[in-house]
Amino acid sequence: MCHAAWNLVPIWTLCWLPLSPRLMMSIGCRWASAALDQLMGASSTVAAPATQRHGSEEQLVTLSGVMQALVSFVQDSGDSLRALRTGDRTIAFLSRPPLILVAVSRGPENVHQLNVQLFHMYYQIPSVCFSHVYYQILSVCFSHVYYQILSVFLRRASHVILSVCFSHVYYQILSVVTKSQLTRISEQRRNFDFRKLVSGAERFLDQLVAAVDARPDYLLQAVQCLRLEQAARDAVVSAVQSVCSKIKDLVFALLISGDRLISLVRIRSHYLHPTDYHIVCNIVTSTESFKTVEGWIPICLPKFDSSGFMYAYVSYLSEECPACLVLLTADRESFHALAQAKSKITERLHQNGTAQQIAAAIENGDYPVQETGVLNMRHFMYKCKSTAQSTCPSPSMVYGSPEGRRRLYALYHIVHGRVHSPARPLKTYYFAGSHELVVGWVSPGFELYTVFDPHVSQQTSITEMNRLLRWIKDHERRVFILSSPVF
Amino acid sequence: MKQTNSASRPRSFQIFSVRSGGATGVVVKSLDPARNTSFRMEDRGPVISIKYSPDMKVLAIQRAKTSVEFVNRDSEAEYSQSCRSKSATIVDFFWVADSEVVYVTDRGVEHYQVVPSRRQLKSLKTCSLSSNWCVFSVELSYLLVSTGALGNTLQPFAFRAAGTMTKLAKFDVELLEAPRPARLALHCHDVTVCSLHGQLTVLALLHAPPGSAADAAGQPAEIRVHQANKWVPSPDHSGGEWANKDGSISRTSTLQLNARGNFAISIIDNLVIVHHQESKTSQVFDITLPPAGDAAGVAAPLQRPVAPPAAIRPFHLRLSAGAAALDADEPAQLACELYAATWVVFQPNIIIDAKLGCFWTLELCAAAIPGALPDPVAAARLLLARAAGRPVLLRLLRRLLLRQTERARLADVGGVLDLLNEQTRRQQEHTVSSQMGSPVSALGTSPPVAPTEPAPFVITQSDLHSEVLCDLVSQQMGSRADQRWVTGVLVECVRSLTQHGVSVEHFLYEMLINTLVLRGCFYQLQQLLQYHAVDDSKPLACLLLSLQSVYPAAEQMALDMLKRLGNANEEIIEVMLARNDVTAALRYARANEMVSGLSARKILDVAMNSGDPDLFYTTFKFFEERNYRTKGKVDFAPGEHCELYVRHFNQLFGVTSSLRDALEAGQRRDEGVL
Amino acid sequence: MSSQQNAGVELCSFFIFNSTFGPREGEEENKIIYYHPPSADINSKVKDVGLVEALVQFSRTFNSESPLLSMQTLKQKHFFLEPEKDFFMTLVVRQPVEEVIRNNSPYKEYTPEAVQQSVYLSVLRHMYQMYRLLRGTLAAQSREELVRSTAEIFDSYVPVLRLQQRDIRDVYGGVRFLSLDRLAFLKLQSFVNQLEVLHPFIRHSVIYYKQHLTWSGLGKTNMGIIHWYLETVLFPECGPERPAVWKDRTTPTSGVFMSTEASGDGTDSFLAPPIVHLRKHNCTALPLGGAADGCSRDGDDSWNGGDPVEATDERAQLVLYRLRDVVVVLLVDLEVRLTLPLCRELDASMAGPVQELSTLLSSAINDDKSSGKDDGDTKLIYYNRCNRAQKSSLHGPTAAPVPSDALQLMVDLREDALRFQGDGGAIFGRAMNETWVAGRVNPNREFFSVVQQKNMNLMDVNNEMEQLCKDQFSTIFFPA
Repeated sequence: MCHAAWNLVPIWTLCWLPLSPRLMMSIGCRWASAALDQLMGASSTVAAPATQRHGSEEQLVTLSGVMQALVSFVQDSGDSLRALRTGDRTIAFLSRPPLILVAVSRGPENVHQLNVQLFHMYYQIPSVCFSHVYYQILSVCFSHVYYQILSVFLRRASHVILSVCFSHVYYQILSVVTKSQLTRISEQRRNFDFRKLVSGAERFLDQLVAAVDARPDYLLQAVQCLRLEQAARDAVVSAVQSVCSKIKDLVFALLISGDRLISLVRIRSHYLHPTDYHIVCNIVTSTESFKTVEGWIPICLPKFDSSGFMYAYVSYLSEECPACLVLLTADRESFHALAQAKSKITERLHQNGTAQQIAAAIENGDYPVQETGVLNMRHFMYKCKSTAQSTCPSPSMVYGSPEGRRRLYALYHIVHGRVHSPARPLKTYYFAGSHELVVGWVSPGFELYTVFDPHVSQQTSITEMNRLLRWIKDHERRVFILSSPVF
Repeated sequence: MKQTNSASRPRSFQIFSVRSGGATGVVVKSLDPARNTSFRMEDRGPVISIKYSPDMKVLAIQRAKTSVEFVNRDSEAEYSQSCRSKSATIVDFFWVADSEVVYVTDRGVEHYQVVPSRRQLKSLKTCSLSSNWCVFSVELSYLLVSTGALGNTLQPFAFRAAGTMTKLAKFDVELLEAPRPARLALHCHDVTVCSLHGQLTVLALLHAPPGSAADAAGQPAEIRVHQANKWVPSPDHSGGEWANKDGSISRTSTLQLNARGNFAISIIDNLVIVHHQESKTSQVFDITLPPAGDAAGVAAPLQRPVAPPAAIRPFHLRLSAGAAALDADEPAQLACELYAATWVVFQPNIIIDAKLGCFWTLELCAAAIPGALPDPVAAARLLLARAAGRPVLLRLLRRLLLRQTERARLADVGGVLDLLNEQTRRQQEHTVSSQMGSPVSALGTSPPVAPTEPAPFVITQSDLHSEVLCDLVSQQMGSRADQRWVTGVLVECVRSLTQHGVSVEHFLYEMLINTLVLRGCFYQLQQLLQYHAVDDSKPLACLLLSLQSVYPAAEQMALDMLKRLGNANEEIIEVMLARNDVTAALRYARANEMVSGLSARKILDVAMNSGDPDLFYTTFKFFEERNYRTKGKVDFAPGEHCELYVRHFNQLFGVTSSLRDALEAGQRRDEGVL
Repeated sequence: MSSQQNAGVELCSFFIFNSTFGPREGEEENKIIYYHPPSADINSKVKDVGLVEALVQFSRTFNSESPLLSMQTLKQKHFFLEPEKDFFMTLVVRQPVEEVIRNNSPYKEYTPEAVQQSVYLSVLRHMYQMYRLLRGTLAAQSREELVRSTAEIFDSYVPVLRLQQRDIRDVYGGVRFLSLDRLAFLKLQSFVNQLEVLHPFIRHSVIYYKQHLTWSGLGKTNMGIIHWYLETVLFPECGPERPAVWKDRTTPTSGVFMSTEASGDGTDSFLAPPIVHLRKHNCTALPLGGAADGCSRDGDDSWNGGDPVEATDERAQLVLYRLRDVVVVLLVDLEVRLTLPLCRELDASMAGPVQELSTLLSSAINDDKSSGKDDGDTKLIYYNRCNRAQKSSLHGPTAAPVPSDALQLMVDLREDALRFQGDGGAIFGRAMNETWVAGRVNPNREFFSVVQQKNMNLMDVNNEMEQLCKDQFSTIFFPA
């Protein structure tokens, strides 16, 4: 049996199964034993993999076959499969015909959290599949992508707690192949192999998988800003406004560094949804080529408009200032205009010294928790609900190492999951354990998650949290973007 | 009853054998050899009665009905005293003290003081009543005079302080049936005065008067027991005095003899022995036994004998060598005929066989009690009340607890242990009350307990341990019944001790716990501890900790016990550190204000060896904070030898991340923004 | 979410199957041992079994050791248990549903969080334990016997599962001890010892007083199972109205022998009490001092390790003897036939002491009331994993009912406390309606309380918890 190689590795599977309900019914009730045989390694009849390269490819195919059989079987009884839970794993299913996204996690995420993650994945796809002619219909079997991503994780250390957010994936996928296109293609061809379509998507999905697990933004669904002086941020906004006001069809102008937002200028009456922002960031950070050459890519922002494409002009300001300017426009031919605009903006920013300030801010990165002056606090996450922006210090000390960071976010997943449980939401969550003291506090205006040393008494934890809120209030200007400038 | 010299021999009992009116010599025999003597005196006619004064300084001889002559032993001076009222005849006379004599005459009672130096008697007090007969108890210096036509109204006199005679309240002995025509129904030899368990007791032997309806119905004889309530025995057994003046006597119980004929009564060791001549058997009564049947409310409950009637053990007289030699075919030993007609029984346990010229005291053979009494509890009760009973009781316990008797029952074990512990508690209360002068219960809330008399002996837990429990626990626990019996006995011990408020010693708990562990009854052990049936103590907690490998929950039980002890915080922390539970230990220390006393080096060592960087980090920060709070600076004092751990911390987390810079940031904030 | 909504949980189906009974095609039907509701057609039965087999196989691809626990779909939740090799028990529960209007069209909204995995998995475990208690292990019987015995047990039991009332108590499955003072307990124990020495054929004895456990001669595991069976099935069944099987009419004080059947008639008739299968105790205690080997140690220490799946069970007769409020449960060796003279003898040796016990215990239970008092708003439940002792004021007859979402939150918080690294700690949660649920979890002991007073902040609730712990747990080591 093939599972020997598997049980060590937490698996993130992303498989799109060409849905064919009719096929399922024909096999009828003996499908279970058939599925079992497949798993014994017999050749699969359900999904025809485009290419046969590796042994695990074989296992992937059978496994996706079984998954599809399970999903469709439950669908026949008028229900839809949501999740499976075994002793040490949670397997979440999200079916967005024609795609079925499956997340397998050993972490503490509950089913709801896994769904949110897979949505991101789903949206990521449309935004990525740009390199091929859209209408060339090739058969794509997700297992290829699946295999790729699987391979990525085979290499990882065995006990990594991996959690992949369904919705992130889902959005990502949509960003490559627009939703309407996706459904049209799948209806025309039964065994449409999406793999070719999203062959370029692996990088982004790998990046997304890593990001979802180790950064709070996806959990909080909020945007994290770069800590920068207010003056510098205003200077950038005024530069962008003056240069871009004349360009028509320009929807959004973002200046980002990594996944930190430096400034955003938007078209009137349109807002950039955090999920779309994450998709853009994911694309920018996972493509090395933008660092050297300007990028001009079509991109679908599902939350903005899941049926249409936009074009993104992506380029880094300069060598010494690693911030990246992303101009999103609906006009296909405005590449040159945007290129000129970018050079004007870069030149202006260098003149008034803002670029150096930005470079310096990017250089010293996130602030350590000590800077807040709060005693015995190890880490916190703060989200301002009104502006959907979040801030958190860089994990340090006990959570400095990768395992430490993963454990930290596992804690946050447990608290966030419980506080935002759909049936029983909580206002306050407080756990004084033997390793740390975790507090979750949801109020109308903000959400605050803090981790203290275990020996802190309740009284001190409350006073320290209030002191932290005062510090955030004082540094609000530098940590968040309060204004929402328009062209 | 075997011949033994026992401590309870009456001091002043003497026998005078007078030959031919004293002329050929008077031989005085007594149990106390010092009091044996012989002398000669002229023959002035038949001697009615002859008595020495307690200190043997004056000899009183009664030859005539109306007067008594006194002879000073040393100076051979003679003088006499006749009764005051002319026409009175002396029924009897007694020495009540070294120099006090009382005459009981048919008219009254006359009390004289003898003044040997002046060779005369001074009259102290006389009181007039018509008396039929009288009985005097030397031991209790208590005179009982029978008056009235039937002779059943008894007038007691007490001779407490020197020279005083107090007349106590009269009382009537209820007869079985008043004889018609009225005549004397109660005789001198039917009444016995003695002290049972320190209580003055009057035993009246009643027969159905011949020819009466009861006699026809064959009603057996019975003994009516009358006891003086509130008679306070003086500590040295030299008599006693009345707690209240009138010293009223009331009938407390009745001894059923279910036999007829002549009886004699002996008092041995607070037991009433009734000898029945016709059947040549004796019956033993113990008035402390719970009365037979439902005795509630019955004025004088019926007492049944302790055991079925049994004969006195046959006694062989060893003839002196000379006599044996004389008569070759005479056996060296002469079997004495028991209950012979010639036997005369005196109080308290003296038997005289006039024919053989033997003078015996009757002794109780404790060793025979268990044999005689099948019910171990009754046997134990008897043995407990007798000083000689101790070795026998221990043997009885051993046979019972080791199940050597065929149908030993756990309930019997419980019963015997209850008696033992009851006596132990009484002894404890007695020693406490005698030290503090007032009965201990007066301090507590329970009703005041009558002043207890000291118990003859006490069987302590260590006796039980060495005599019985050691072997019980080490014996082979083969079958299910054996295993249960051992646990059952140990539980009975604990229950009985707890029930009587005696504190249980550690070894008993240890045995019980080990037995339960050996049997694998862990859940039962848990319940035992859950209900605090076992006193908390540190040694027990350590015992429980040692059981951890066999039964993990034992650790929880040990921690509970340590907590209940209240003074075992260090041990609790030790246990937690032993299982590498550093955070819980620190939190417990903080909750109980022990933080300053903690040894940083020891705990940091445990945290480091646990191999969990988080744990080490937290512990290190904890002690840094303690240093900051106590010494104002974060670093460890050189004396604490924590350099190794500081190096380990810096290597794991880097120097900057210690508490220092957080504090500086805190100071900056205080001067700055606020 | 009002508590009415939770009333929506419904049992869809419960079935037991073993794949090895029908490996070849066409024999799928033999796999099914028991299926409720019986009215379902054979195809859907076989399909359900097929689905579970596939799910098990699918989950084994990831980690063959970790068992498949549950499956959540839009409308239902399925819970799985493999108590013995190849035997699978499945409980399918429909989630609570609420009719909601969304963008002006009726829409059925399901709440999966109301069906909590740990609660319903323990319901399944209890069902297996009860079956095994009464009929022994599944593996020991042929298919036909299994079909018959499962039907006997579950046909009467499944309809009264009352899934709505399943909550944290089922997760614990603890035992309610009567709190006795020291001397009362010792007197009780001396009665038990005397009884067991007098009648060696009694293997273990358990004493209840008004359904409070006062003494248990059984081991922890067996006691847990027997207690659950008595409390949920037999005590309600053997209430006063149920005719006593045998009572010695001649003596006024004799007790009542309760058990399910009596057989035989006339003089040689004898009682046939239910046969129970106790988990075999494997005494790990030190070897008995010089004990002859081969004789099993008397104590039942079936505590160690989880449920020994494969171990064969030890059978015994379960005899219930009731007099006034005391119920003496005797586990009698199998070989002993409970003839009437034997019953009379047992009755004789038990009637008197049990009378005394009853008065002794009634005074004990009066001052036990103190723990039962609920000071209005705080409800608490305590459980000790070492001796399964459980004390709860959540469900007192007089107590105001605790809202079901507070109980569910309690299960959530317990799950979290056990999931955080380390060995538990103190956990607090404040729901939207200002109800606080506070808990203290450490490796051996758990304690949860619901505080419903208005506008309490974290500190107040913490002080409330400290106070509760001081009153209730002063004699045990239960640090924060």
